[in-house]
Amino acid sequence: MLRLSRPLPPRQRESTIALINIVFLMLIFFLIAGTLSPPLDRDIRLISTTTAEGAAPPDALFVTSEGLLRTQGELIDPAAYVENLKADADQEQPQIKLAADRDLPATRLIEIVGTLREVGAGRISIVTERIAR
Amino acid sequence: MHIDMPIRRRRPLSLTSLIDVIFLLLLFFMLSSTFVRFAEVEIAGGVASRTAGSQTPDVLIRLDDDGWQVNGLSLDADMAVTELKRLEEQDASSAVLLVRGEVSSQELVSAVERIRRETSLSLSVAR
Repeated sequence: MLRLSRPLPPRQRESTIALINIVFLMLIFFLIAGTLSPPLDRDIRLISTTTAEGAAPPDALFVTSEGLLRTQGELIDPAAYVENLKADADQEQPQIKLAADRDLPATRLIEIVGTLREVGAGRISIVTERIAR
Repeated sequence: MHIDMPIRRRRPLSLTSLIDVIFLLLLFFMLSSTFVRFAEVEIAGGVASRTAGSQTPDVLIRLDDDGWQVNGLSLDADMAVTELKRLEEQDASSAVLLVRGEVSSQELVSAVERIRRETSLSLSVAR
């Protein structure tokens, strides 16, 4: 006797509703938990602190561990950076945020702070990342 | 003569375009958001020869490879903070932090943060 296989039942299509649910959840999570920030320099490991005051994500002047100044991935000298800030913010003494690598020698850091002051910077602060204790 | 138009059945809305947009949004927020919490530590002062001369500081703190020196006394970090508190009670109001040797920025900023937290001296750094 010839055996005939029964025709397979037509496959049901996978419901997309479940997929959308998960993607929606992830979207909401990233919307609420994350903070948008200007891109940080990848080579720099920020100094960590525990109790310093919180701050908004910075648009900072980055200092690599060799003491090179960079902003938006390009080398810049302090005078030009301060000039740019003055032109953008229209202030006499622009506020400067320095994001220094944690291995940068402190003497070099102070030298950079001194140079920035000399070319007309106002308040200078160091950007750090806050770690939970 | 009155002719009834056939009733058109509504097709369910396609979800594909919706998912496309949501996926795009999700990717955007995943890639551009950061979970780092930022903070700021203010640094006053600069190169010693240019900032000195306005007034002499009450306390001189030296930070080098061997540890802390407060007004010439070699101390460890905890003792140094205690000494600073004692000096503050005796009406010291300003301090200068001098950095020598191979101290890294991390150590400098930790020291500045600690002094700011535990005392109310007005602190500036110098080289």
